[in-house]
Amino acid sequence: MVQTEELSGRTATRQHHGRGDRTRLWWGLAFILPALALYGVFIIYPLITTVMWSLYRWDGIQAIGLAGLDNFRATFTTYPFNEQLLPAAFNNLKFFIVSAILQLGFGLMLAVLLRRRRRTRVWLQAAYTLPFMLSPLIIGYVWALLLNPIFGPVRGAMDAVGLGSLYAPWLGQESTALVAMGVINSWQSIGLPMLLFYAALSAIPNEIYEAARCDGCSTWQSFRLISLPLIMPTVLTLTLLTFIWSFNVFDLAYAIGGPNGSPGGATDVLGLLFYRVAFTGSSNALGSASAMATMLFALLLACSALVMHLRQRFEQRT
Amino acid sequence: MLSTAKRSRWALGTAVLSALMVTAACAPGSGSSASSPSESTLPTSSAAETNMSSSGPVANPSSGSSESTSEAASSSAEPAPEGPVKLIVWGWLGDQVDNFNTKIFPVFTKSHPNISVEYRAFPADGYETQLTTGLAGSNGPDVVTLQAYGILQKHIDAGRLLELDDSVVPGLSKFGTTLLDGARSTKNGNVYGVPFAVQTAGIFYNKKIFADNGITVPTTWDEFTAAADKLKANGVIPLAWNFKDTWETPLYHEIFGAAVYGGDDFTKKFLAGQAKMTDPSYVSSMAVIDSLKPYLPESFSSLSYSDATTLFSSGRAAMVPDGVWNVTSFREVNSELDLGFFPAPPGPDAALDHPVVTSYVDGSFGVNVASTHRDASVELIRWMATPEFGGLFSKVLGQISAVPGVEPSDPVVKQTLDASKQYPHTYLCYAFLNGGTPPCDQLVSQGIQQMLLGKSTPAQVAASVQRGLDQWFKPKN
Repeated sequence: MVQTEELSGRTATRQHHGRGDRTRLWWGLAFILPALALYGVFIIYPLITTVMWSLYRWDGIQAIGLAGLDNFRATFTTYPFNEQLLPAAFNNLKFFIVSAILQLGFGLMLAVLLRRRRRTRVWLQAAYTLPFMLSPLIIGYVWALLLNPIFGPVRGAMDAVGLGSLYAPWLGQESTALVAMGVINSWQSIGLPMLLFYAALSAIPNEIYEAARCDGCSTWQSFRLISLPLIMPTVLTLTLLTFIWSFNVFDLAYAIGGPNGSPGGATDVLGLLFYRVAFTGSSNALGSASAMATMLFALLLACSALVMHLRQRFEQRT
Repeated sequence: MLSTAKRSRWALGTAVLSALMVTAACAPGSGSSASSPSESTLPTSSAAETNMSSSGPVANPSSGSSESTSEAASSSAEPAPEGPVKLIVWGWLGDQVDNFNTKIFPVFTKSHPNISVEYRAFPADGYETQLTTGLAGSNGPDVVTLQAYGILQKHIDAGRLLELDDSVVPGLSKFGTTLLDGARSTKNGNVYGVPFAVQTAGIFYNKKIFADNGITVPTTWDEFTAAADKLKANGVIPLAWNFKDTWETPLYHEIFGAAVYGGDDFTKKFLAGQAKMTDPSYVSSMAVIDSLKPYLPESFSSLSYSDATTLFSSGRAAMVPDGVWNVTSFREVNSELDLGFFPAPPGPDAALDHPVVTSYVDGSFGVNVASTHRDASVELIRWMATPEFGGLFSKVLGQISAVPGVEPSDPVVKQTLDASKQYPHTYLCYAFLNGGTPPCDQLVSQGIQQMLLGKSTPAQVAASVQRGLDQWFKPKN
């Protein structure tokens, strides 16, 4: 602690210009080294190998020659994957829209409501965040059991209170399965947007609200005109993260619809398609799966860059 | 102000980038990330645990894993393995770990006092990935459970498995060609494993429900539909059905459709390029599945494998198409269950005038070439080819042992085996058409789902299967 203060003081006064900078750099490196090493081994290294693998032809786990872009071409030409690619991507998009609306909407609502509760706040926050701690696989299997039309308690409970006619086997119908999956996902991950929104709202100085009240602002007006614009960066960040998570979804979809996205591909997403290409069939599975992973990465990188760019412009404007 | 904004942008950028990279890092074989989804798929809690421990006897519990590894390696470098040896066997039967380790392998150790054996299970879904990694490493298993038919080819091609014949495992040839086909290289025809189990499939029924409704075992398709209609009219679900867990769907097609498309005759013709999936007999075999729709449970499209098992075992459904491996589960759910078995009668427009019973080799035990205890490993798989092992396997696991001359102890299991000997048929997709992309079972299960949801016709499903296979399957003329 003392040393860092010393260091920052020294650089601030710019007395020992070069030497201070170098020491600072070494200290910085020393501190981030453990994290960097882990990050390198578990993220950067597999990432690079994946991109490289996608360029080879494989016989099991042995590379038997350069494939060029053949693996990428195969993704778009191999039946039935070529016909499943677009529907799966659309399902990801739908899943994102449902998740974003529910998570951001309800997350913000909970955060606003929690700010008014002083005593129960901590407990409620913990309660809403709890499902986030569980594996999506567990969540998926538990909800599939709850909503089961024959053994599930939800149907029984709805029958008991006279709402039986509203029940439908949501996860078993093509028309509702994906939306139901989005709702389950939002139920699970509502805790994070709630916490982030709460933090963002708490960071807004009270004086602004007081001034607004003096000027005769209603509660709704001060929310719309003060809170909302000031938490906009958080909204964008969360939208982007939800987008990335929605396109990466695998475990929840696997638990709910199995590897083929049951019923009839209604819950098929890119993650499942990738799984089917990678873990079944030919000896070149490693090549084609790596190609798919690389493309998914590129797609998400491009989308993220776009959103970050938008965010930057938004920040410059305000 | 500006610097804070910049910093937050940096932070966001890093967060987004790391979230993104998880996508790309999830390629197969890239270590833990690839196996993590399947790790919690099956209720085998021991997976992560077994993963951690290293092979070889760990003398000092506090010593690190690397230490014990080098210890195991150095001890095996000596030519004569005098001291006690511990063999590690890998497999996917997570619920049988205790049975293997306390009831089966101790019998081997009794006659081979220097060799102790430990069975370690991995979730079935991720097993191939796990095995590929294990065989490639230096600290892998000694004896491995291999999946049957085309799936084991990549391990053979990579040179990871010990080639077996009668000189290595006496009596191996007595298993017969059909069984050994499940452990054979498709390229050089050599055998790389000792088959351990045979699976059969057909219709299991509740004898009490049949008696209560005055129904006898149907021998023709008309009798079958009449029985199902009667059950439905009496408020009993005729057929329990698993829609969600699609690995079983191609087996349903075999159970109801194999006699319709022509059984092994069709298989021979198809493999020789003289028949196609678009032939009328194969289309009819799909139509039979479609015609079962009225007999399935209400909202069947939500039901999973365990739902089907429970519906049948609890007596809410009269019949269930299933594999013989599930007999133990039926009895576990309901010990009072009066269980019976019959092969599905040939459906409309059947190519055969008799039923067939689909059977296939479930897997085999092979030796890892890189094993540091090869002699002991060979001893073990020699024992696995003896009636002593076969009898234990059959009795303890309640399954059909592949060892010649071993009879199943469960009467229903024995009935399925006898029926499969009378009307033999090998699982078409699994045994012959799963070694390419897209594999046959995926095409069939996706097609049948679409058909049962009313989105495609039997002819469209058949055409889709043929189209998918055309891309990689080359008939042998």
